Parts: sequence; structure tokens; C-alpha cells
Amino acid sequence: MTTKQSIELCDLYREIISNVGMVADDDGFVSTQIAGSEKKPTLIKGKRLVLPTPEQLRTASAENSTIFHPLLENMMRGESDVVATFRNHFNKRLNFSIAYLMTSLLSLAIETNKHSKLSPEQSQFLSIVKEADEKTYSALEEISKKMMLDSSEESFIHTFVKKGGVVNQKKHSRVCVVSFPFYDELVKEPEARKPLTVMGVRLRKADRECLLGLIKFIIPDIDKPQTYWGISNSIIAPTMDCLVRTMSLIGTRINDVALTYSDFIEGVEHVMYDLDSLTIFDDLDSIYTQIKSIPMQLGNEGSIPQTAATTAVQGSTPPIGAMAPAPTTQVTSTPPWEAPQQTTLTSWNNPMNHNPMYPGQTQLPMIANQSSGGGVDVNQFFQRTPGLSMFGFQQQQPMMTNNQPVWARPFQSQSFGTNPNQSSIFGDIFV
Amino acid sequence: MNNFNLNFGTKIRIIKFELVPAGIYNDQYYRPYESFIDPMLMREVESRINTPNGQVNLQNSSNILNGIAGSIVHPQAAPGSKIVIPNGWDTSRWAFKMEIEINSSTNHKAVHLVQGYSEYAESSYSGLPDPNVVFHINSVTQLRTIVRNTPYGVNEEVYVDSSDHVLINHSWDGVWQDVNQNRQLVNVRPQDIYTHLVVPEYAQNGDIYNIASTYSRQPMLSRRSNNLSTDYLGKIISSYQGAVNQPIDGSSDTIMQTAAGLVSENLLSRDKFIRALSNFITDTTTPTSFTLRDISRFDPSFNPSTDDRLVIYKEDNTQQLDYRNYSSDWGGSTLETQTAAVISSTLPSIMMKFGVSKVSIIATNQEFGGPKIVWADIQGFGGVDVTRFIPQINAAIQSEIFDFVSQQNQLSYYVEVSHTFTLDMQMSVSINGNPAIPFVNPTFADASFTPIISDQTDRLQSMAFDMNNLLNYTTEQASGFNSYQPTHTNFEI
Repeated sequence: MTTKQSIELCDLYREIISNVGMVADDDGFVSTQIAGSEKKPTLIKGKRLVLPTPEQLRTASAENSTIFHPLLENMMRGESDVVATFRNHFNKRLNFSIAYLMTSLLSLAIETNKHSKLSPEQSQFLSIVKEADEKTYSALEEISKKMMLDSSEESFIHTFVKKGGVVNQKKHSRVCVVSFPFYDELVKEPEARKPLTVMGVRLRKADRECLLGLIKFIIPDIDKPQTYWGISNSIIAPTMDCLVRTMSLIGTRINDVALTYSDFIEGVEHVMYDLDSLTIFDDLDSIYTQIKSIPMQLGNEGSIPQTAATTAVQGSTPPIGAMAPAPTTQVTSTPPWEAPQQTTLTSWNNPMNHNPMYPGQTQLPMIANQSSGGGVDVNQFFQRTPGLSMFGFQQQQPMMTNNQPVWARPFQSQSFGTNPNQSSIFGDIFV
Repeated sequence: MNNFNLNFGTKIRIIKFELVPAGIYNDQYYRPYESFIDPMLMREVESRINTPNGQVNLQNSSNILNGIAGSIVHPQAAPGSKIVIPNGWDTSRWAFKMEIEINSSTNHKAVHLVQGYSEYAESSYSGLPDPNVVFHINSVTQLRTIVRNTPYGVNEEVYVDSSDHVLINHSWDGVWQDVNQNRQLVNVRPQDIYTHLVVPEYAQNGDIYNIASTYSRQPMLSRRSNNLSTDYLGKIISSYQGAVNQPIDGSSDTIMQTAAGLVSENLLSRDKFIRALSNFITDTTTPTSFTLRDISRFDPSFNPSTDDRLVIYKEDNTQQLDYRNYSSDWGGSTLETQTAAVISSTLPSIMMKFGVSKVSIIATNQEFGGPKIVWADIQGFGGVDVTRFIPQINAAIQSEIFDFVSQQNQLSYYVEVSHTFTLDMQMSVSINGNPAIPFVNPTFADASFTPIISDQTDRLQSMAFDMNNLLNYTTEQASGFNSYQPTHTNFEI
């Protein structure tokens, strides 16, 4: 049964990591890969990340491997190396998805010849970006080049996990705090008589309005970021639980947008999230025995705060509260926000459903030999870009190909769009 | 009777020196203690402290922690670096057991049981060991014999006064050997935890570690009971409570220092046998190894060539086996491997508590009626009948080993163990109905892989952190300071 249980847990892990740009081969070796790019081994402090398959548990060397088992969490500790790596990938993948959707929709807005093909529902966003032109697109492209993919300052979105976070005056075991640095900078009122710049890129007033409208369209309630804060009071793996809840909250919205415009966005499946498997987080108790069947693995045990032990010991006098617990990190200055929507994972509106289908399609879109509505052969993209990788970086850095940010190298589409000089959003991202 | 008279008024005599050919074993790995605390465990601790009759005294914390201590503190599953033994684990060697009688001037008689292994097993043509072969001490145990007159005649009972591992770092031989190069080993004994908490700034620096806790060339003692999670945790909690109750200034540092003192280990230099050895082995003050020549100097009446106190078991008596062909390696991080590691570090300490020298058991919870331990064999030191201890031993084995392994009976297990205290342990471990996996552990050298030695240099830091939180929490609970809240958030950090 252990073997069976281990395999089941491994299956869950496979599905979870697939949402953050990781894939695992049959032997359990995890690689970083997004949008069909070249796989790169996922390393944690130089050690290969592997799934806890029975074989890996028997043979993986602690010197060379780190076993992925974040559902066994020591509640006393901080973020583990494994969860930190997972969250790093999570942030990168989220930024990729948002960047992809923004550039795609902006491109669609500029390509007026396609507007007649849009349904009334699909056309709604056009009024938001009616002022957009190629300069707006160039500005977004320029901003995207500067975006760090896992940064609290230069990114579309950033997440981190807080212990004992307070939301709506209520303390929670773990809170996945979500911020939108790009939006935060964009929404600031421009200073009078000063050029308007966002992330160091000069914008026209119309550009600002378009980009603001666009990101608010993709992420409704972006001005209330706590809407997307995943909170967890689970007694099993609360850190992963809150991350997964944020993944579902934002992933649901990304899926909505992606599916709505799937006829007009190439490779849209690469930005989407498979949220079905995550419903198990509503009932982690049911797999607790399976979780415990795999012992704690090095790299998952959690960090300890740098000063916590010292503070705790020297903090006060016993016996009562003799050793005050390590300082609780609370969002105590947080105003009494509205409570995040407390939805269960099973109740989420998951447009992927179990077998996500795109409008007019009878099977999942495939990269190979698929031709998009825009006439671009997606397969060509990936044949042309074997080295594509957004996630293979161990250190934060923008997506680079041949020492250039991938955003910087326009793709010359032969059949996408009517303006041959207009760079394709696909090219910008994938090439 | 030939006695050697030491200057300290102590007479020492070798009673028996037995050599048994050990097998050839798979590589052994460090598996230091790791701590794991989750809300379910803490709720269990809470419920045991806050009983219907009021709060319990934390100085009896061993009782409070029965059955759950193993879930909080246990050897890690993942293999650490390989453990160095002279000439490697694939070398034939002898396991030895030496009984020494020590008579002090107060007419108190005590028997020392010194146990360990040789660097290799080479015999001369006469069958005697090479006189230059070095014997390393693995543990020293003080036994006390009490003779009682009963209605059924004279009854001799053997009690264990103390039993300590002798920690010797074989990877240090002037330089760190390759397998542990750049690896700083640290001890995580209760004493080290408190010492760390007093001066955490050193240990938290990352580069500078608390010197008192480093496990380098200097040999030292560690109580065998440190291998028992209940004793280990119990000592930490009760010594803290004991320190709090001392009439001292009440500052945190003072309490930690006092607590460290309450759990301080025995000093190697005070061990009578080691002291006697040091009279003849002068290159170190605390010798932990000797040759047959040293023994003859130690007890001049002992003549290896003719003395019947030297018993050498031949291979035709005890077959020397290459266990690598018959057992799994220890390099995995499965629950089965962790179970075997827990058993091999725990069972000898339980046996030692009750004066048991040999056991053969089957433990399972796969049958009707819950967890069960079936005894195939049990022998006491000196042939003393120890069967009357079986109920207590059963309880200890269940609490220390199988409550953790089964996650409080949530996982099923079927385990067979056959163990001779001074030799090795053969196990077959099946969890959740999976095929049984055989393991063989060279327990004659179990001081090398006691879980209180860590090759993870930050383990002392993280253990101290968790123990600190646990102490804080249990102290609050016991004082009624923090009444039970049905939420885990009261031990968030």
C-alpha cells in the first residue's frame, strides 16, 4: 500500500508542479519547463529536485537530490527550501501568464481587422483599450523586458507566505500575500509637470489608461489585492495550502480570460492552470496517512528565523512565557480589510473543468501541428525556439535568450496580423 | 584472585573478555535526530498536561510524552554522510565484550561492561588475536548485582546503573577523511541544546559553532538513553522545569545554564575503566582504545595465551557473514529504512535499561487485537532471568518505536528483530503490507551512528529552536497561562 500511496501522492505532486512550470519524468526527476521550452533540471542549492517515487526514496542520494514533499510541514518552522523553490516558480509562472495575456490582448486591440470576429462578450475589453496603438504596445513590451519574474518590486504579481498573518482582524495560520507591483506603480497619480514613467518606461497618458484598464480587466479587484490572498488554517501543510488557494483564485481568472480569447491567442494553454487536482486541498485529512507514509525529507523541514532562538530565550522571565515564542510576524498594521472570499476549492469556477475544451474544439489544443486561428503554426514556434526557458534560472533574472531578454526580440510573423511591421506577441515572448 | 591495585583505592579485575567475529556490513550513514511538531502533536501534549485533575508536573514529563515523543524527535529518514569506521564496514573484525569487576575501598562491588570492536580480525596460527590489533570502545555500562534471599533461595538481580556511548570520531585522524571533508559534526545531546540556547549567537553565526558541542577529535560520553526519544525529550522538559524551580535569579541565561547542568553527561575522564586505562596509555588523557598488550598491563594476571577468561568464538560457532548479500543498504529515505534506523538506535537502549542482552521479537499491528509483540527469545546479562520485565519492555518498545512508525496505529507494520546487544541486529521490516525489507545493523559500533551526532551543521540550531518553542508551549500549558484554545494558531511563530 505504501507503494500505491506513494504513487498517488506523486501524481498529486506532478499535477501541482505542472501549474508552476515544472515537469517530472517517469523516474521522478523534476525539470523546469514552460510553454514547451527546453527542459532544464530544477535544482535546489545545486541538488536535483525529485518526486518521492518509491525508487527515488530508495536510491536518491541526499548529497545530490532534494525530494519534493512539501505536504509534510513542520509547523514551527519557516519556509523550506523546497517550498521557496516552488513559490519562486509559482511567481514566475504567474508573471508569465499575466504578461502573455496582456501583450496578447493589447495586440488584439491594435489589430482592428480582427475586431469583427470578436463576439459581443469578447469585444467588451476593446472599450478599455480603445486608445491603444503601437506605441502603447511598445511601452508594454519595454516594461515587460524590465520585469523580474520573481520580484517584489519589478513584476506584475508577487506572492509570499506570511505566518500568523492577520486578515480582517483575524489571525490565520498562513497567508499568501499577493501584491501587484506593476499596478501599484501604474496607479500612482502622475506628478504634475513631470514625465510619466512606469518601471522606468515613459508612458503617454493614454498608454497609462490603457494599461491600467487592461490589467484591471485581467485581474478584477486588483485594487483590493487581498481578494487574491490565500489563507489557510489547515493543520496539515498550511503553507502549501495557502499557496494553492492563491493559485486557484488567480488561476481561475487567468483561465477565464484565456478561454474567452482562446481563438485569438496562440498557445493559450501555456498560460492556463489545471485546478482540478487542487480540490484535494479541501480535504487534506483524507490523504494524511499517505503524506505521513513518506518521512520528512531534507529540504522540506523548514527554515528557522535568524534571530528567533535568541529572542525567544532572552526575551522574558520564566515560568510563564519564560521563553516567549519567536516574534510573530503579523500584518498588524493591516487595516481591517474585507475578508477574502472563503471559497472551497471544489466550488471554484474552474473553466478548465476536468477536460478543458476550447470553443469549437473537440480535443485539447496541442502544440505540435496545431495551427491557430491567426494562422500561426505553433509548432514552428517551438521548433524555432528550442532554448526557450523562462524558469530555468536559479537566480532572479529576466528571461534571456542569447543574452537578450526574450521580450526584446520581436518575432516576425508571416501570417499573424495585418501589419507586417508589428511584432507578434508570440514572438516577443517565445523567441 | 588476581587484582590490580590502582592508586585510587580501586581494584580492577577482568572477569571475561569475549571476542565474536562480526559480519561484513553495508555502509552506515548519519541519521541525526530531527524534530517535527505539528498541531496534532501539540494538541496531544496539551491534553496530557491539562488533565481533568489539573495540570501535571512537567518534572514527570517522560510519562506525559509516552508514545508521542518519537513523533516529535526521531532519527531523520534521509541518509546523511557515510560514517567512518577504521578499515571500512567491509572489513572483518571482532565485536568484543569485556566484563570488569571494580571493587572500591568502600567494599561496593560494581561490574563494568565494556563493549566495542576491533579494527580488524587477524589471528595468529595459535588462534590468538594479533597483539597489535586495536580495540575501540563503543560503550561502557555499569552493572550492579544485588543478591536477595528469597523463599525460593538466593536470587541474583542485575541492575544497570549507567550506560554511555563513547563518541569517537573516526573521520578525524589529524585531518578530516574524505567522506566527511568539510563536514563539521555537532552533537545534539540535551546538554548541547541548552548550551546552545545559552550562547546562541555563536551557533547562529553560520561559521562559528559552539565549541562545546562540536564533535571533533575529543572523545566524549553520551547516555544511551539519549537514543530514547521519550528520555531525550523528557530530560529537556523536566530539566527546564527543574531549573525554573531552583532558587536562582530567574534570568533566562541562568535557567538555561542550570538546565544544562541538570542534563550534563558523564565525563569520560571519570569513568573508572577509562581512568585505569589512562595509567598505561599515556598519549591521551582519555583513551578509548587499547590492545591486548594494554589489557595485560592493565591486569597483569591476564595472559591472553593461556587465560580462559579470553573467549574467542570461532567462525564455526558464529558464522561470519557478508550481510551485504542478505540485506538492504541503508542509503534510502523510505519509511522502512527510517523504521530500521529507529529500531537499531532505540532497541539496544531499551534492552540496556532492563539488563537484557539478547532478544528476538516479532512486532505487528496487522492482527486482531491491536499492536502486539511476540517474544521468541530474551536473555539477560549474566544469564539472569529477565522475563518478568517483558511487560515493561513491551510498553517501552511500543512507545519508543512503533507508535511513531505506525503514526499512532495509522500505518500497519510487521517487523521481525533479532538482536544480540554486543554484536548486531537483524531486522525485517514491512510497512503497510509491502514486501519485507531486511536490514542488518552493526550495533557493536552503534555509538558511531547514535542520532545525537549530526552531520547537518545547522541541526543543533534547528533542534534548539524547536525545543525552545516546545518548552515555551508546555510551560505555558502547565502553568495554566495559556488555556486551551481549539486552534493551532496558539503555537504559530
